[in-house]
Order: sequence, then C-alpha cells, then structure tokens
Amino acid sequence: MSVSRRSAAWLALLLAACEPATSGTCAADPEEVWIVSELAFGRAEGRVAPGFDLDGLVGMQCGARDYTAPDGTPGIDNALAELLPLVEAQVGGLRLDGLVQNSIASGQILLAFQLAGVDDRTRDGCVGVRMRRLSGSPLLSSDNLLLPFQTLYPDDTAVVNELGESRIDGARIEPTPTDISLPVSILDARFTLDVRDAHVRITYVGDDVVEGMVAGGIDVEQIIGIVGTLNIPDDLEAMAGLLVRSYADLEPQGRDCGQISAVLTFRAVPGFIGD
Amino acid sequence: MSRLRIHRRTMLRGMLGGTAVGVGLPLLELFLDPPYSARAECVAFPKRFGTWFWGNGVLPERFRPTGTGPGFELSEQLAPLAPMHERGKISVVSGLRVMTPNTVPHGSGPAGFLGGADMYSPDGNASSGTFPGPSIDQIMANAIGDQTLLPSLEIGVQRADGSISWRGRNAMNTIESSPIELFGTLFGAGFRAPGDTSGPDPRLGLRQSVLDVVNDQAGRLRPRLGLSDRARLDAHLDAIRSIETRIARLQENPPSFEACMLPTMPEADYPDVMGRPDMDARSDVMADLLAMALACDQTRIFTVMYSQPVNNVLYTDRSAGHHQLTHDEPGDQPEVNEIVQGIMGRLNRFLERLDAVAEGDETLLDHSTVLCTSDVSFGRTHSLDEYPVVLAGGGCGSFKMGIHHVSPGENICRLSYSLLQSMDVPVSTFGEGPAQTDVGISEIEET
Amino acid sequence: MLPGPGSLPRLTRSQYRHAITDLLGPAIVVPAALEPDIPIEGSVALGTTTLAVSARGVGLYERAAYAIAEQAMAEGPARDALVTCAPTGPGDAACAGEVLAPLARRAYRRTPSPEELEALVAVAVNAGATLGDFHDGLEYGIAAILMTPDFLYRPALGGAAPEGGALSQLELASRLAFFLWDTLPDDALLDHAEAGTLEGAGLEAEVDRMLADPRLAQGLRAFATDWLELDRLSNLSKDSTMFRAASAELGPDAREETLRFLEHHFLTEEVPYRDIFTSRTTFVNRRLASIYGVEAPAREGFGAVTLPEDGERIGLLGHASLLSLHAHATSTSPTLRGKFIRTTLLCTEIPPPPASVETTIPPPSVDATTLRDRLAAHRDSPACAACHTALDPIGLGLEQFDGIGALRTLDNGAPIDASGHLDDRPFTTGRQLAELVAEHPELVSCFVERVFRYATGSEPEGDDEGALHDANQRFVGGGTRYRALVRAIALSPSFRAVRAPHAEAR
Repeated sequence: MSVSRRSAAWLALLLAACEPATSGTCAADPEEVWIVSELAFGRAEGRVAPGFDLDGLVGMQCGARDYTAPDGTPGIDNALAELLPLVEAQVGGLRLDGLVQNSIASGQILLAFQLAGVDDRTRDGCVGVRMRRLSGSPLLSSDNLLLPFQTLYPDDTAVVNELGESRIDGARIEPTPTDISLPVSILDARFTLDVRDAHVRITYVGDDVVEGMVAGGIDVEQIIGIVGTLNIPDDLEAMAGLLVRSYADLEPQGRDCGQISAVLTFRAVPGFIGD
Repeated sequence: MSRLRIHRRTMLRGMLGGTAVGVGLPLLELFLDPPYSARAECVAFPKRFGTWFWGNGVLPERFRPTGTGPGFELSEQLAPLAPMHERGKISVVSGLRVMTPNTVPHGSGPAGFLGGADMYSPDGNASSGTFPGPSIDQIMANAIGDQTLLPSLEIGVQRADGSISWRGRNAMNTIESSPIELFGTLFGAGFRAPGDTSGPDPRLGLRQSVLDVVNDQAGRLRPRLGLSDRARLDAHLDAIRSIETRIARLQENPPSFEACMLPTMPEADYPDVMGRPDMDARSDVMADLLAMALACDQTRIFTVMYSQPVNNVLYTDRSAGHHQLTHDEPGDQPEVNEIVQGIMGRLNRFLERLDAVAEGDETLLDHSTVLCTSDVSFGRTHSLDEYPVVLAGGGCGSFKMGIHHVSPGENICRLSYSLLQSMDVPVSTFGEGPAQTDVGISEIEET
Repeated sequence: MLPGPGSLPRLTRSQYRHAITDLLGPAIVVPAALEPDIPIEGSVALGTTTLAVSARGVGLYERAAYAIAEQAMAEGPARDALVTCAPTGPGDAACAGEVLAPLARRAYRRTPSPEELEALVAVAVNAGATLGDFHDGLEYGIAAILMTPDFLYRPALGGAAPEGGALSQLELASRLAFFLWDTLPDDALLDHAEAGTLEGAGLEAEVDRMLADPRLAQGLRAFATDWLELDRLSNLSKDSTMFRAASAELGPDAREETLRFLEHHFLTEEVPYRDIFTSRTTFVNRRLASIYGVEAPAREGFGAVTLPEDGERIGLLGHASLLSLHAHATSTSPTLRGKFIRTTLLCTEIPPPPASVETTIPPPSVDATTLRDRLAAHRDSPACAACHTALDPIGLGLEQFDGIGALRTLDNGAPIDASGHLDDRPFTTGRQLAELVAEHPELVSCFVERVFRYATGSEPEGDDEGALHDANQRFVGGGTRYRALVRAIALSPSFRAVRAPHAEAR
C-alpha cells in the first residue's frame, strides 16, 4: 500500500476516534453474527466489476487495467475478474463459483463476521468487526443454502481475523483495511490465502440479510505455490502460473507486480456461534 | 383397434337356423357396429372386479361428456383417457345420484354408493366414520374370495391408511401404500411362479400348525364378549382363516397363467420430492405390482386408492393442497381442473398397464370391470348429484364398453346392483331406504 | 364418573413395540409394517376399542411375529437370557415349556392354562423336529404367542360379563400398565393381581410404585402422542419453496420437542397443567433452534432452551409441532388452529361444514392481502359464521407463526395483525392468546376428559357435569399436576369397573 494511502487510513481512524458519538472501545453487546451463505468471485461485465481501488491509482499498473464499479467509482482493482474466465475456459466445464458454493453447503467453507456493539443498523459510531472460520455440519434449506439463525461452532484451527473497530454509516460498515487470512477448502484441496490489505464492506440490505465484499492483494508466489500443491496436470499448472504473473497488478517490483487483486462478493445470514 | 370376435353362441344359433351360412343379420349388427370392440369372453380366465378411486371429486360440467351412446366424444376432464377410449375400453355413466343422506362430507358418497346407506360418524368427519355395512367389493370377496390366495387386495398411491373397502361396520380394510411392503406381501416368501414345481416350502405346514393353536385360543375369549366386540374378534378370526386358505393354496402348484412371473422388487419407497409426494412414480409402480398380482390370479377383487377422500395432496406445480383448492380456489377453478385432468391421466396409465397383460386373445383389462369413481361430485359443495363414474374393461362382456349412458337423477345403487350381479353374486336387493333397488342399469349391461 | 362400557381394545403399534421389548429384549427390531392406528374423533384410544382389525393387519401381525421370533432366537446373549435350559434335542418339550411358559404369562398377562401351554409346546416341538433344530422350532412357539388374541387384545369386560361390573384384578393390572406405562404389566404387578392383593391399600401402593417408575415417561409420551395427534407429524407435507426450512426431519423433530417438553413439565418439574401454556422453557435440536431463531443448546440432539421473555413464542402453542400440524402445505390456517384450541384443548365440539355449502375464500387482492383479511368472508356469510366466529378469531392470534412455526412479521407483504378474541376476551398477540388459554375455565376439565378417554378407550358418558366433577376436584386438589390426575383416574372406581357394553355396534 502506498504511503499516502496508509496515512489516509490513520487519519480516518483518528477522526473516527474523535467523533463525539464514540468514546473508547466498542461495547461487546449487542453482538451480531453473520454467516456467509453465498460466496463468489466478483465478476466483470465489460469494464464494470465490483471491488475497491486497492492501489489508489486509476489506470494501468503492470499492464492491468482498472475497472469501474457498478456505482461509477473508477480505479477498481479486480484482476481475477479478467483471469478467472480464461482459466475456466481452459478447463472445460469448470465453474469455480459453483465449487465454492458447494464447499459452503458441505461445511468446508464456513465464514462468519462477528459484529460487536451494534446499536443501530443504519448509523452506529462504534462497531467491532471480526472475521473467522466456523466448523460444524451446516443446516441447509430446500434450495441448498445455509439456513438462517443456525448455530455453528468456532474453528480453533483457524486464525481469527480482527478487523478492528469501525462504524456504521448508511447501513454500511467498512473496517480499516488490514491483512486477513482466508482458509479455503474446496473438494480435497486445503490452503490459506493471505489477503494483503483486505478491504471489507458489509451492507445491511434487509431484516435478515447482509451483502458484502472482501478484496485485497494476494502474493503471486503464494498462489503459484498453492497451485503447485493441487492435483492438476502440469500444463495447466504452468499456464496458471503464467496467467497469474501476467495479470498481477499490485505491489510493483520493477516492471512486474508481486500481488494480484482479488474480489469476493458475499451474502450472509444471521447465525449463532456456539461453545 | 377393434377385434372382431364371433360369439360362439351366436354362431351356433345361426347354424341351427338351418343354412350353412349361419350368419344372421343380428350377428352382423353385433360385430359390425363401430367403434367399440366386441365383448370379451371369459373362458380360460377369471373375471376380476376393482375400484380405482380418487378423492375430492371433479368439476361436473367439465367432466360430463356432451354426446351420448357409442362413439361419444370425451369431455375436457376425461380427455386424458383418449387412448383407452380409442380402444373402446371405457364407458361413462352420468347423472347418477346418491339417494341416501349426505351427512358426512366426503364420507356419505362412498358409503351410500358402495355400502348402500349413509356413513355414520360421531363427529361428522369422514375420518371418524364407518360404512353401514360391507362395501360391494367385499360382498364379492365373500362370494368368490376363497378361490384365490387373497380374498381381495386394497392398495394406495397416496401414503395413507383410509379406504372405501369395508368388510362391515367398523371393519375397514386398511390399504398397502408401500411399494416394498406390497411386493413382500405378493411376491415375497412362498411365491412360486407358474411352472415352478420345486414343491411347497415345508415351513408352510408349520405356519398352519401355529394358526391352529391361535384359533383354539381365541375360542375361549369369544363367549365373554358383547355383540360388537364379538364381531370385531370374528373379523380377526376370519382373517386368520383367510391366511389358512392362503397357506393351503401356496402348498398346491401355482395355477398356470402365462403372463405371471416374478416382477422386480421396487427399489425405494418413493419418498416425497421437495415436500410433495411423488404420485406419478408411485402410481406406476403400484399399478405394475397389482397387474402382476391379477395376472397371477393372486386375487380377483381389488381397490386402488389413488388418493384419499378429503385428501390435501400437494401436487407438483400446484399452489396449495387438493382439498384446500377445491374450497378456496375461486371462479372456475383452473388449478382444480388441472389436478382432475392429471388424475385422469394416471387412470389412463393404470388401465394401460392392465391392458398390457395378454390373456389368451384378450387382455387382463378385458376380463376385468374397473369402477373409477370419487367421494363427491363437485368438490366445492360436496354434492352427490352427477356422481362421476367411469367403467373400464367390461368384465368379460358384462358391460357395454365405449358408450356414454345418461340417466339424470338415477339411483346410483342400481349401478352397485349391476356390478354385484356382473360378478355372479346372488343379490336380491341392494341399498337402504330411498336407495333400495332390486334392478341394475340394463342399458349398460351386455345381455 | 360413570365407568366406560366393557371393551376389547387392541394394542396400538407403540404398545406392541414396547411389549416386544419387555418380552424379548431391546435388541429386537419390530417391523415397521403393522396395522396403522386409526383414530376416531381424533383419539387412537377410541379407535382401539371400536374398529376391527383388517385382514391385511392380521397378515402383518403374522409376518411381524416370525420376524421377531427369528431375531429372538438368533444366537447371542439375548437368546441365552431367554433360553436358560440346555435342550437335549430338537424336540425337547421340557426345555421348550421352560421358555414358553413365562413368555406366555407376560404376553397374555395371566398364567396360561396347562392346555394352552401344552399346545404351544407341541407347536415348538413339532417345528423343531421338522426343521431339525430346537431354537428354530421355538420360533414357532414364540410366533404363536405373539399372534394370539390374548396378546393382541386386552379385554376389560368385568368379572360378571356381559352385565359389566368390577374388572378382574388381572384385567385391572393390564389396564393400569397400558395406561401408565404403555406396555405389559411387569411380574410384580401380575403377582399382586394373581394373589388378589390389587385392591385397597395394595392397589394404592402398586399405583404409587408405577408412578415412580421411569416407565411413566413412556406412558406419558403415548398419551401425548394420542392427545395431540403427533403421529401425523411423520407425514407432514410442506411446500419447500414456501417453507425453505422445511425438510423430512421437521415433523419428527417437532414431535420430539413436544414430547420432551411435556415430560419435563409434567414429570420432572411437575408444574400445574396451565403452566405449559406460558412456559418459556422448551427443548430443541439445532434445526428447531434455527427455525425458532435461538442459539442451539447442543451440537447433537436435543437440549433445553429458554425462549426470550419478550418474545411471542410461549408455551405449547408456540411449538412447531402444533403450528405445523394445524396449517396447510402452503400457508397457515387460522381455522385449523382455532379448531385445535376449541376442540382438543377446550372440548367444544364443532360440526363439519354442511354439505353443499360454498366454501371459497377470495384470493389475495389489494383489498384483502393477508389471510386474515380473506378469511373475513367466513364470517360474513351466515351459513359459515355460526361456527367460524368460534374458530377463526382464535387461530388468528397465531398468524405470527408461519406454516412451519417460524416467526414472521409479514403475510403476503402486508404486516400481520394477530388480534382476535377467545370467547369474549380480546387479545392482540399470540402471547396474550396463550395466556388467555391458560386461564380459560374449561381448560382443566377438558384435560381430565381427555385423559379419562385415553385411559379407558371410551368417551365419558351419562350426566357429564356431575360425573366428571369428582375427578376434576381431585385434579385441582392435586395442584392440577399430571401425576395427581393419573393417580386419581387409576384409583377411581370408574377405572376399575365397566358397565354393560353397547348393545350394538355404533
């Protein structure tokens, strides 16, 4: 993250801390738990794609072009939106989003956001945000999505991502970007993605639904390393490596970029974390 | 395609008339009249009777065909029976009326039609009610039931227990609605296909000895009972006797029916799909098992409860249960209409199954009379006028097929009388009070 | 209270299963295919005394008898517990007698006569000789016991039948065991009956022993299943697009909740009867917890939860079981829910709709969006109003619970109005309805009637007011606690005697 961006974040934090409505740390209660029931990569339609401006630049970096968000915001970094369709085309019939969704239904990917101290869903000066992985066998509705208000259990093997204190404005929460560790389990593949400087956005859209995005940069070498552990043909592995390097668009190191931007969109339903 | 069949008796009559050309005009008329096939004759095969029943009635104006007589055009709701109609294997009887009181919605209809008198129910609900006496299928089973392994067979497609087959007051024949259990009953231990000369299972004799002991024990209890309990115990003992008869038959060589063979066991019990019963698949598998049971002459009397009286089956694509729709759907009830048509489609498939079993030059269906009816006429009002009745098969030439007979306000027990007579039950009258009759409906009977 | 008529109830499926467990051990798997329990007026107990078994049912008893006997005689510790003698050969009559005599006594609930025993032994010995194996032969003896009407029926005819009178002590022992425990009397109870000590203080002591026995829970479950028609939950048909949380497990899970709830409140906590309508404690598993919107009490199976104090869900009327049963596949049904409260809980009889009446309610429209609005048609038409004004306004109080019992705030997009009235007492929420039901003057006496009907298999008859007054008083005197009511009925002269059976079938 460039220096200017980092300073801006600190300033925002300080300003937030000085707001008269907030003083000190957020209360623990009332707590809300939101379990991710639908998860997918943020896809592009033409030059429009969801995501954030991760590098503070509008335009090209390492040869990757920025997108425009559906609400018109320019400079969106979402390299996977360009890359994934190519990968899926190479592997006939591969639908990554379907695989991810099945992993949720089978209990392999159970992610939750814990929000502490939510007094008002439209405007709240202090809300603690935490993202973590859960375990348990998920209860499914008749359309194969997670049932709302179910109880799942903490996964002690996974890191709890403290996203710090944030606020709710216009029914929306955007914690300060920070590194998060995203455990992934799809079919028989298990790995962790370290998302650098992850931007998270959570929006209340109904009584019992939130929508959101998680976006950030992932080290190219980490991805290539993970792909190497997967049980896929060598030529596909090589191609994937090539694609990731050429589409990397963050953390310029000379002519190349060391990270690739990724955007995940999600919907989450209320739930409980049991003991 | 109509099959021309020269009736043997008529041929002889012609020849005795003196000339070598023994074919007189009346005979020509008989087998030249389109479109219905000439009637079947039961020479080497037994006559069967069955009821195919669905709940919640029809929409009478759209059920009743407009034309009458032979070659009539099917109505909108009967249209799915076109394949059977083209083969000339169904007849429709309209205008019939249940003359006995209508005190129990969905209960008084079947009780009055098949039992001859009103249902009795302590709280007015069909589910708590009893027929006044035996239903016609059981009267038939009493007469001929001991000639087969099972006196009668009651099965269902909708998973439920109730039926329109009663052995007497408070003695309902519960139905078998599990395909796997039905297979076990019909083709499980002890079943031998025709030609199987491996000899009876020695355990059959041991079962017989157990039943002897059971019978003796029961004798001690009987004298202490009041009348109604005595009748209940007698029903139990009758059933034991039926099992004894069955065991005795199983010890004989199986009767030779060419079409009879061991069917494949149903794989699963056909669970609900997305909260809705899989009526289509269940109907087909039950029809297959029943057709084979009849082909093997395991029984000659059957009842198929496709759906129960007052049922609230949630059919695929429907916005509510059947019973609820009959009462809540406004206007001309398009959803109810589609449900009835769907049920008639299932009926057609059922009849096709029976028609696919060859018996000599005819089919199992030709040798059967199938009464297809419901628990009311118009579901919304529970009316018992314009009662829906389709007859199929003809029962070895007992009934005219391919005709639509209308008799407005006719006592429906006259049809019950005809049905009993067609199965050679020596009946003098049927029905009580206003429903009592000592004649059938001659217009539909084959003389 | 007038005694019921002499009767011959047939064992229910659950009684049959419990009896087999008591006779042959818990490892026996009883086949699921048995004659179904058919209720009359919503009561299986009434059905057991009224209906005749079907031919199919007798055939199923025969099949089940052999399937059970085969398991019982399979090599293993269970068989060793039953066959304690060492047979000298396939046709060892003495050893067969040793096995079959106690089985027959427990099964028939009386000591079999020498002739009866001889016949059973003969069957076993003959079979053993034919098959060349003693234990295989015993299967036939056991099957004979299980098929005999003396096992399958439990006569309550009185000593001097057919005029009725006091039940014999053996008949009483049977009736007590099936009422309190839903199974066969144990040896101790039979011993008392055969010794003639099942009366007076001896009877009281036995009843108290039975009330303290853990099998009372089994008996309560059987009563509750009959009283609330919980068996119908096995066949729940709910449209899965409308109710995305519905599944094949919903019905059975909901039944288990209600049964545990009643066990807890009636037997563990022994609360007054009315309190089950206002209690905030219930028992859920993970799936029910998600439908109720509460944290699951346990990772697996059921656990206790306390529902929120300020929530709408309260007591028995908040259970998914009753809310699902009394609803349609694609919607709720205020009429069915109102009818449940009126007839099952308050014992008011409501006749069915008259034949040939128009029963349509209008479809949803701008003027009538919610089911509540559309049902108003029931009360506008005079033919319908007579009954529906007694039903709908009650059931409307539960409109906040959808067709599977989940809370909702909108019906077809419009806010739900859960106001109504119970008799002349108005309410605006489901919680208030529950409180009014709990206070209703008919509630307690109706429960007494229901338990009596269950215990005897017949409706209370005669001059009801005076007749049931006694049992009522005892119930109320015992703090309207379930155990006290069961005790009162078990010791009441009306339970220990019968009058002449009905002259003819109903």
